[in-house]
Amino acid sequence: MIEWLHENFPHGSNYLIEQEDAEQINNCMSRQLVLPAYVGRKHGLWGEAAQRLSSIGNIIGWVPNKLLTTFFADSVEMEIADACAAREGLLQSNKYHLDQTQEILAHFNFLHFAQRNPYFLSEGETKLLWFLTQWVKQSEYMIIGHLPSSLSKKRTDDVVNFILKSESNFESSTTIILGFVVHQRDWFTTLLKDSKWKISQMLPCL
Amino acid sequence: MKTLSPNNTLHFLTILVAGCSASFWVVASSHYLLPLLWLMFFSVWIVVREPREFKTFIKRFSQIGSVLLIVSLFQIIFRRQGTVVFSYSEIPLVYSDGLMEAILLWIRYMIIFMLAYIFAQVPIFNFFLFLNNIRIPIQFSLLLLTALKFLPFIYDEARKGLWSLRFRGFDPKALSMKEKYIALRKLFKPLLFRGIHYVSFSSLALELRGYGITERVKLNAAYPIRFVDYLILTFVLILNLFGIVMVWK
Repeated sequence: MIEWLHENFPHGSNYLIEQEDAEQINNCMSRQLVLPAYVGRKHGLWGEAAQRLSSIGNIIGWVPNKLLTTFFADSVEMEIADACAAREGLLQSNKYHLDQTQEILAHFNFLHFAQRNPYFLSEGETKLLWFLTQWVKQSEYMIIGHLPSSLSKKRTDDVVNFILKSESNFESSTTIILGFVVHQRDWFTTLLKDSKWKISQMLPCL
Repeated sequence: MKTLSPNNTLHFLTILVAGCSASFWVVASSHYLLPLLWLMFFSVWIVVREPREFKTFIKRFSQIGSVLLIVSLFQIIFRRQGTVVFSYSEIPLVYSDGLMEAILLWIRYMIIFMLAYIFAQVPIFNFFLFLNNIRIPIQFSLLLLTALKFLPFIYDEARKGLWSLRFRGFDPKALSMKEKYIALRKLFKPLLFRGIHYVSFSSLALELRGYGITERVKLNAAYPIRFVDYLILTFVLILNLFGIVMVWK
């Protein structure tokens, strides 16, 4: 999968991928990342596929529309700080990671929900939190199935601006792959003004 | 009154009687014959009930069987009574009592696993009907059934947690003991809270449906004992009588 990504999505550009429905990319990703760790031969909780996941997780960040995952911390702030720590291979965050989190949340205009429990967030807020935990991983690739799903227009624009701002500040070396549906193109027009963004045709399953 | 579609599940009473009889005889018996008969009985039961699952059954049987074999081998090593069955360079290695205990232990464990598998095939609602029919108060039966339903939920949540941890880039097997403890704590907390959340909502859902007002509920469904159940119960009775005759002799 990683080789395939390197081959088809070389670093240096970001990609917008056309898809038939909002779940197409996510379904492909689920088949690659979630299902092998859940069912099948030589699979399961401790199977080969599940063990490969940790190395894939270091290279890919993925934001599905419906989360199948768990948050570990009691607050949004701690969850993001833990994700920052995980980037350095640490299971527990320290003050430095908390400062970094504060900065990201301020950047994202999200400081007001720093102390909220991730378990009690709305669907959209949960998606945003997951997006941030994946973003701070600074993985090689960041794949977002369909950004506007579960998000309001304002929130979608916030994320798009956040991505653009991070790029212009040279903060990110991540290649971003965003999925879009043919009839819903208005949300990414600002992205296309940036020369780094390219539109790709519908792709065979990842 | 609606009669439950039989599918391929047997009546809970049949499974209960067979399970109790098998458990008694494999523990009480000090010979191979009866435990072997019960083992064969359950093997045939599982294979006949689900012929399509035969390959899976053989695979699981051999996997669990080989693990249990290692456990049973300890009996051979440490039990040094009876006549010497096998020796190497005049050093006695295997004694008759140790060998017999090892085989019996293996059969006992296998029967426990088979029984657990057979019990797991019974739909929760059938189990509920059975408990209701034998006049178990609804407060107790619902508690029991909720606990049974709770296990897959916890397993699923644990799987989600482990997936999230792995996707963060951690390989649980590669962690040090201290890190494993931290990871376990991280996994346990959401599991606990999600569990409490699940239980409180289940309880609320049941209360809103009116459960708990009376001791027993009148369910509009019959749970009859069918011909195949009588057949198996007869066979269980024959095995029990055979066991009594064996002990009598």
